[in-house]
Amino acid sequence: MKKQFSEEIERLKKLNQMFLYDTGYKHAENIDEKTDKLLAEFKDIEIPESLDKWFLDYNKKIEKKKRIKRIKKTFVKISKKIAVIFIITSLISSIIMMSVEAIRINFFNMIIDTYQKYSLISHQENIGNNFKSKLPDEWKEYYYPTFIPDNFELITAEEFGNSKYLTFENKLDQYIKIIQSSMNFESQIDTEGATIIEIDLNGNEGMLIEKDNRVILIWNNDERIFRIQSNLDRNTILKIANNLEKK
Amino acid sequence: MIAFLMTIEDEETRSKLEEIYTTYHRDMYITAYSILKDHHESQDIVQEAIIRLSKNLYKISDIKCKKTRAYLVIIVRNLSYNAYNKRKGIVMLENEEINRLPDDEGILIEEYLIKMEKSSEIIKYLKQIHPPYADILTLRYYYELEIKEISILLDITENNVSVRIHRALKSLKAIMEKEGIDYEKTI
Repeated sequence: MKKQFSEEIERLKKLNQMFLYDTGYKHAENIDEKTDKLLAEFKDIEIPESLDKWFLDYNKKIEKKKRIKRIKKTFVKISKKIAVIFIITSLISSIIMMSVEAIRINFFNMIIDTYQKYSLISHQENIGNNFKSKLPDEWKEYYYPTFIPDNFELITAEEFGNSKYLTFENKLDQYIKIIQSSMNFESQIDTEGATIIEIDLNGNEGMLIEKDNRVILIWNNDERIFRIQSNLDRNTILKIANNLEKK
Repeated sequence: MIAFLMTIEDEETRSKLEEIYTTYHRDMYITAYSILKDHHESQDIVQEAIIRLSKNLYKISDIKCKKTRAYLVIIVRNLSYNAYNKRKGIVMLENEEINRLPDDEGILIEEYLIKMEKSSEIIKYLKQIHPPYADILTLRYYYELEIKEISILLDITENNVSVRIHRALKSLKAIMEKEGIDYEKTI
């Protein structure tokens, strides 16, 4: 009942609004007719020129304000677009720079992915800093240790593919293996339960892995990847690593 | 860059106020003059109307039509009434502090009265009510302006707008009821 009443009121309101709209329409028509009569009545009245002058000045100011507002709005819009384009361009440039070998930055990225049992060590060559050294008689471009602890003898010097292996041993069953490989070489090292220490060798990043009385030191310089494996202590291994010379 | 941006202006928007002025400045001026009988004051009123209108320009879609012409005349003549009253020291009753009233609630014209109306009779009623009341009803219900918009255009407070609308509705209803009773008596 109450709902019916409020619906009835709502209906009457709408009817009133329609009626008042129509009333307004008629009133506007009345005004139009009345204005025509007024114009006829005051046909001799001249509009002062100062009014036109005022309007022109005022309109100029208004338009100037509008123009500035529009310019600001458009500028903001364009700026946003430029910013987006700039970001996209920067991203594309970065991707291109990273993927084109010729313009790569002069350093090596050693990517170490540690898995549950093995660490995958990847070395990527920086072609821009590749230089040629003098070739030895038997081998081409290799590094040899200028420091080896006493009583160690060179047991083997082998070359497999792009890798050279030097093995030193003493009578106490201690050994030192020095392996040098070209870049783009990957090797797997058992790191399960090992102590891994990141080290710096003459400005080159490296990794020292200690496990079961065995030490493996792996690093690279601009042209080679080195791996020293031994059952000696870590300081001796680091000393050998720091005293490699190129031949 | 700035020069480029300036060329992408919307010419239509730019000239809207100019077109309104060119088309109706005489109507506006004569309307003000017919009330104030003073050139200086009439010019001031037209200027004031233009300033107020420029802030509310989006309400005008079609410039050369009766609706727009009447709209401008309503603004000018109400501003002129204000100036006239000020000059004569007349204080409108609405200027007293009155709590804002709902304009379209409480006063509803009965359905039978609405149904009875003919165009000629509406015009007759409009002529009977105070012109500013008819104007304010027209602004509210025909031009569909908000209370605030009317207040800005006519330079009166929002409270005064509400009071005027309320009184205009009351007045219109009273006239219609009286005419309705007279009409019924003739049957």
